[in-house]
Amino acid sequence: MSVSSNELRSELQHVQTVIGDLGYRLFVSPRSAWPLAFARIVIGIAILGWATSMWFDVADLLGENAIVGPDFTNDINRWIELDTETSVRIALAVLVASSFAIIVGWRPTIWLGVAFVLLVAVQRRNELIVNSGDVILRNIVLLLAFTPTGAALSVDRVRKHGRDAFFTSAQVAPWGMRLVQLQIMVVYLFAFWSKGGELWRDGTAVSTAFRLTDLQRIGELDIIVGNIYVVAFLTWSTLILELALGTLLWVKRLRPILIVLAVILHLMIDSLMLVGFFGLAMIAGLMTFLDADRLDEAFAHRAAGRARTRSVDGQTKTDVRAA
Amino acid sequence: MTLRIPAEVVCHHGRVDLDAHSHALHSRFGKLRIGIVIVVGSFWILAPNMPSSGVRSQLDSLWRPAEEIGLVQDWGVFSPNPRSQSLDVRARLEYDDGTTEIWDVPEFDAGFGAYRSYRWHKWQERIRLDNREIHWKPTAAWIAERNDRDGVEPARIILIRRWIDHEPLRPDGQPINNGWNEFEFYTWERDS
Repeated sequence: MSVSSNELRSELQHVQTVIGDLGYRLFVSPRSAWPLAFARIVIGIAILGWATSMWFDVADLLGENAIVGPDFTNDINRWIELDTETSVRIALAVLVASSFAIIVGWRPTIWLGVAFVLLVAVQRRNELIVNSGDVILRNIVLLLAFTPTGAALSVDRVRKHGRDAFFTSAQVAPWGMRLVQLQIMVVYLFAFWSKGGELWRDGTAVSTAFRLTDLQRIGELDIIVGNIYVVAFLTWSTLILELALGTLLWVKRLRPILIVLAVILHLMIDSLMLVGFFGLAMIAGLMTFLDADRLDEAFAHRAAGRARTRSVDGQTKTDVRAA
Repeated sequence: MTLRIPAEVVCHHGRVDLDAHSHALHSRFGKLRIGIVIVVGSFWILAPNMPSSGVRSQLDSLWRPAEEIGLVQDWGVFSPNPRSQSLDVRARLEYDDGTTEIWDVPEFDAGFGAYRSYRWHKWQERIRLDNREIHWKPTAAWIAERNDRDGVEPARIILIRRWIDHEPLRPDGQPINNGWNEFEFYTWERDS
């Protein structure tokens, strides 16, 4: 069977159109910025918590006379050399300031960039105390800097369009948000991928993990470490959920339930284990998967309700004056 | 590929409402920049997670810039299994008068304190390893300096690894946690 050059050209054009449309939908097609605004607020809270909790241990963990001295700092790029207690405290103070700016949405792109540099600089001063939560926190901070997080629920929006615009959203291209989403899915997928050990397969891994005294936040809970049915359920459901989050978060219909389950998973781990800011950083990233259209409808509905109330109030006042 | 914006949704108070990130898509240079960010960013997020292999180690240099700037990928949490040992590092301080004291990392409350504790526990997890031997002497010296009596440091500091072996949960639902084990892994002498 031979294919004429015209047919081949038309096929190629069709493929090109399909790829172009897919690329457009994925990276360009505008949508509201509510999910990014929620992600911005959550990551701002995480930075605030990270910096304030670090503040109390600066002398012991990061200062010039800390338990790990500046001589042992990693050679890898540190952005800024923070080798004295004073310099670390200044960096943390700027981090706290940047977290407030990010939460309220005042030039968040710039402040996310500043926060990323400072997080890396402080964390690389003493890498013996850094965990996965610290790393995912700075990754999400960096990737959010490539997104228009200030396009809704922000001071920037109020400054540009007036007070009424706070509960409105610009329509934004989602290209930067895709990197945040990719990072989140990659964390879940490779967390699942790497769990090939016997304890995960036989359904007892959660029991062992929750018995590690150095990771316990509130001590040992018998129901979680000693009940074989609960342990097996938690172990295997963790695997299933991580796989689902690493592969199915792109599926729009499954997203709401997956986001809810992921948030429950992180809250459970956070409340029982010493994992630092891992959960909060992941929840910030998960916010980017929220349905922008539904949020748009919800906020539009709210705005309409407020407008109705205002017009009724106005009418009532007029009536009163007329009377 | 241009940014087709439905006019009815981008206007606020009658003005086109376009952020800088989206606006960049209007120029050829902007699109090129965004294309590079997407391709390089996706590669830097995905590639370092690939399983170890000869090919992977040959390609390491491609994502080294990401690691340099601070975009690091390593998500093998509790893998391939959760570790089977609870870990602790403490120090025994011996003074000139023959008395001893135990130094432990600070413990904090389960609320806000939990966000401080995890750093100290991470430090314990790493400092105990043989490949961190370079840290042991300064660590002992640091503990000595903070535990002097009338300006005199302890005569000896002994760093101790402690651990509990956790057996996997048995089918009858009985978790087996053995008691604490100890191993003295470093001794610091004031006068040496």
